[in-house]
Amino acid sequence: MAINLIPQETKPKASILNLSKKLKKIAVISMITLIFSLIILIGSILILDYRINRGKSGQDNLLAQIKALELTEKKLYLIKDRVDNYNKLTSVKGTKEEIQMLSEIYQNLGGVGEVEETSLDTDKLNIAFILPDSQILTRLLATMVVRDYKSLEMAGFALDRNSGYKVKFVIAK
Amino acid sequence: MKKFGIPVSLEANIKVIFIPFVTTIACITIFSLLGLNGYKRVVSRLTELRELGKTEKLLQNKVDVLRNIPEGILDKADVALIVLPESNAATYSVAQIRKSIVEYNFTINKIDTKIQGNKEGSEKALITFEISYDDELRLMELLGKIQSIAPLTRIEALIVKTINNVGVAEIELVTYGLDLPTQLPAITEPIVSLNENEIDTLDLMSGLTMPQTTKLDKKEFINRNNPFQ
Repeated sequence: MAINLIPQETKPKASILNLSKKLKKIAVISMITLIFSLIILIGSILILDYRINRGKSGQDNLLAQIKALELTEKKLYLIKDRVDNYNKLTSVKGTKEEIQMLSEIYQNLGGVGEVEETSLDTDKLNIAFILPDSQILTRLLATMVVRDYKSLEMAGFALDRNSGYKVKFVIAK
Repeated sequence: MKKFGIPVSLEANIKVIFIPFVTTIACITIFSLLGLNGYKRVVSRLTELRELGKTEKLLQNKVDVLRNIPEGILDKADVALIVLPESNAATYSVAQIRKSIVEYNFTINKIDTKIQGNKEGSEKALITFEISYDDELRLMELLGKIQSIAPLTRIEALIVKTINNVGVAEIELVTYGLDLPTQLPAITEPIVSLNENEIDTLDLMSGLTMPQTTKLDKKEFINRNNPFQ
């Protein structure tokens, strides 16, 4: 049996000793957690700093490459700008179809009749023919009605003893 | 038994508890101070790294686009500028059309040009040609040719009449001048190469008839004799 000569009054209570043991355990766990956490945090910060610095130098390198390719970029940007504007301007309806219609009419006429007056814009084609006889008139009408025009309107019809039939059309495609 | 009025047993109790208690509190305090601060730093660095990654990817993509532009595209920058010049589009168009009319042996009765500017920095030139022609089909051919010249020239209206058995055509045309882009987008802005439609349009533009310019040869300086010798 162990001999304890310490006065019993200076001995801590059993419950306090128990609490002290628990507190010691908590303190040890806290310290270990703190040390681990600090190691992890400092390690993370160092690793991230290294990666950020590496990323920055990579970015600087890429920026230098882009600077060196600035002339190429300028040309590409200019081409894109002009192509976009060209597409915008040519997307507005023009007179290409109307001119094509007029050209076909002239070809079909074959020099037999005469076109007295023509005007065209982006919407329609106005055309006035002078035709010497009714046979040519019939042939012209037959060729015109089979065309895939959006609208074909006869705007005028007259017979002149000297020149022949005067026929006016308004055509849209 | 008491010491300074405090029971000795209480002093012993405190002694036993004091060190682990203070250590625990210190650990918690240090953890909450350094840990929170460190966590914030880690989060801010992670965000920075993520942003860096995004920018790097974008810049790499830009470098790749600029390095891999299909062959022959950049050579057409001059063509694009002639088709839609910054200014003087009407001058080039009139010169081109005049040349074609002369080639067709038609007579030019009148040329009229009006420039309309607008706030956006573009200008629109209205050109009117009055010509006398001898054959309608050749006139149609000429109109087709006019529509394929550079700078971009569009026929807005056409009036054809016969005056004293001579065909007279009044052709109203429009041509455009557009300001050049004044600044490049920011270096970190993404860039996209030309898509197929844009390449087709560029091919179409380069297929237009370009104005012919005179190349002046460099002449050597001629040494003149000194008349005072």
